[in-house]
Amino acid sequence: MNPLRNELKILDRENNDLAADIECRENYAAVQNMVRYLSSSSLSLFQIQVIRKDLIGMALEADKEGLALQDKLGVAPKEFCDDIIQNGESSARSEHLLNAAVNTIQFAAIWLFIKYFLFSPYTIAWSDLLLVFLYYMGCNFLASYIRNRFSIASSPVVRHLPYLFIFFLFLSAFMLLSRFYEPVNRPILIADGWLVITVAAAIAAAATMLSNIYWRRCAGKYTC
Amino acid sequence: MDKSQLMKGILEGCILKIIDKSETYGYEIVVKLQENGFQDVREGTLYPLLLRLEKKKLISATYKPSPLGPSRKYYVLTKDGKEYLYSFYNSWKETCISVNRIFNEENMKEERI
Repeated sequence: MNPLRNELKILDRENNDLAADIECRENYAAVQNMVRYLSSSSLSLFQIQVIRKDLIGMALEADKEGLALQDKLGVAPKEFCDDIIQNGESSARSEHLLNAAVNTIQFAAIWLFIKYFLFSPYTIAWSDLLLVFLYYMGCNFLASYIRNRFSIASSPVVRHLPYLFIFFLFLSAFMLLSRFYEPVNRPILIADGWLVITVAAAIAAAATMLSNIYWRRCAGKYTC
Repeated sequence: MDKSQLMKGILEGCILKIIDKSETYGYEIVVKLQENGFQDVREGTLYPLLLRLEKKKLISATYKPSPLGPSRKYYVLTKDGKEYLYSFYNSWKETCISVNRIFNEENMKEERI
């Protein structure tokens, strides 16, 4: 039992490899868009990957039969996805929080590590907290949620525009605040750099292992 | 008439019966349902129903390699599934008797008139 093994990421990678075998571009895009739409629902993240695996299987069969995926399904993609959402396991909210928390803790640890080599004496300022908070809000939640919600839209511009807009909005907010609002640069903590890095790394490792245990439990529910 | 709600419950029972006969996969279930008169059923209709049955722990799935391409998801009935199928069939027979009785009564009245 490897504590560093993340079953969700492994299944995601397997699905990426499997999806590469879909020859028909329309079928490939249809699978991608349906999975993105499902990702904006309350479905369990692990179940979304299991459903993705099944959809890729159907798309590969459709390829062999010379059919469009939608013709094989016999229903409109949105109707199909809404039916799945209605009948699937719903635990996405807590899982999104778990993923976001782990990603943010990992990001914070990396940022503290980089900072140690850039600045001396070692301080943690409000701007560091702001950066981590913006990362948490911007990258983990809002941008991915809006991008997924627009995924069934046919135009790629419509799909990617909200993501880019939010990314630049948060980046500008951070730059402006740290440039023109002095209190944000005030230190909260002046400490031994190695101690801070060690504590941050230990917290990040523990959070990663705990989330991996959760994903292993989820994997046990499905035979993939 | 919107048949979808009526059909969902009936289809669930029929899917369980097909799976009960032998371990099978999605496309084969669709073909069997179509052969038996459920012409409108497609893979897109069946998949959410299979998810629902899996969620209720009435069936369980395993991936097995397929000679034609990607691995297939094979379904088997669980112990709960067998019990559910038994009670579904009993309820179905009782419902059939009641519905037939009502409709036959109506027919007899019409004949008398």
